[in-house]
Amino acid sequence: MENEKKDQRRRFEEIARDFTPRIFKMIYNMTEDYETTKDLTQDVFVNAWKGFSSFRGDASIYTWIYRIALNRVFQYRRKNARRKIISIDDIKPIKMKENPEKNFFKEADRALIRNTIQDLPENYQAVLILRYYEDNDYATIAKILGIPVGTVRSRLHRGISTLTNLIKERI
Amino acid sequence: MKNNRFDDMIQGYIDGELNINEEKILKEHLRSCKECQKKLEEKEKIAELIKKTKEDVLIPKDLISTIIKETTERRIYRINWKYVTLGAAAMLIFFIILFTYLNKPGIHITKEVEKPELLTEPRRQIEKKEPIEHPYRKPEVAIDQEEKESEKEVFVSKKSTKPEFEETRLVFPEDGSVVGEEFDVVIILKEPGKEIALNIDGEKKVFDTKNSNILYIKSDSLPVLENGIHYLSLLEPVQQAITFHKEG
Repeated sequence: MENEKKDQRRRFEEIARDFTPRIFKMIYNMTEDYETTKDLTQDVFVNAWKGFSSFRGDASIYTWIYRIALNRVFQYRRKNARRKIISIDDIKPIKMKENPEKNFFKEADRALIRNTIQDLPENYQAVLILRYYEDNDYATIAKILGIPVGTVRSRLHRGISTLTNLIKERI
Repeated sequence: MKNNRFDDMIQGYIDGELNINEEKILKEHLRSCKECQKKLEEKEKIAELIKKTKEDVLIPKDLISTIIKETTERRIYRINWKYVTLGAAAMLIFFIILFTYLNKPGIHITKEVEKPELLTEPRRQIEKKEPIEHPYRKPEVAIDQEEKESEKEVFVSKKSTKPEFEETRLVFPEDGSVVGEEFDVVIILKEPGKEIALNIDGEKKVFDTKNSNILYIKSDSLPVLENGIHYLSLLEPVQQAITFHKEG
């Protein structure tokens, strides 16, 4: 019993060492606040430790930790919603300008894109972050979010379209 | 919409997630559909732009160690109800015995303690006169007087140090020899970041709570006693103080 506990502690410490940097970076990219990121990263691992004894290993540690992290960030954002989270219904189709691409790529700077990603609905934001910031394949994203692979693809498509429209509106 | 199917496929294509069949279908479609070609180009560029906006940050040096402290190294305290029940039963028996004893005829110690005003100087003077009038009662009065003196002392010293709150006294096995397990004391203060004074085996010790309202006292921060039992009294009001069974 005691050995089992020790083994569990040792395994969790390895996980914490492996995943803390990645999770910290992902959360930072979603919150853009260093102190908040520190707190949330800590929360992620505290929550993970609480559930570690019941973690059955059906999912990989990787997808499990990422799922906890995304849930924690979204939970935090819902509570401290300083930003206006845009609902899908609020997004209106806009008319394309004469040369939209040129205009778009010229004017859409980093900050604008980052801010706009953070204003996206959670579903879209999650897939975009997991795909383009965390470089996950569709199968992994599907496991993390608990959705079918086909849904990952369609959410990415709609996420990018929504993002593009929002940025065009803001330029 | 006819092109919806291709929209998703374009997404899969730029992410390298199409199977051979889908790729073939899409490529064939792209040859004839300028709109989709445009969409593909735009999407590829946007996906690249998004990737470039990722920021790399340094993680705080102590974050991993803090996480480990807050997870695997954090002790979980649980009340061992077995000991709580035993303690309650022992208290009950103690009080039953105490009250039975005090209700015996001829025992009036409590009355004397409760009325210290009877031990004032004039009263003592009167009492001192009594032996002259009744010499046969002299020894009895002398003993009585001595008893009263000591009772008075006890009473006064109690009163002078008595705090303005209900003092909590904890019995604390030091090395576990009594119950076969180690114990810790957890004291929950009314406000965080305070120093708290405790009377441990008659010695005043001050503990700093370091911005927390919870004070842990480990068995090894207490002096070793022969019988392994500490008496620990709180010298300040606290919200709660419990001895905890330390989980193995």
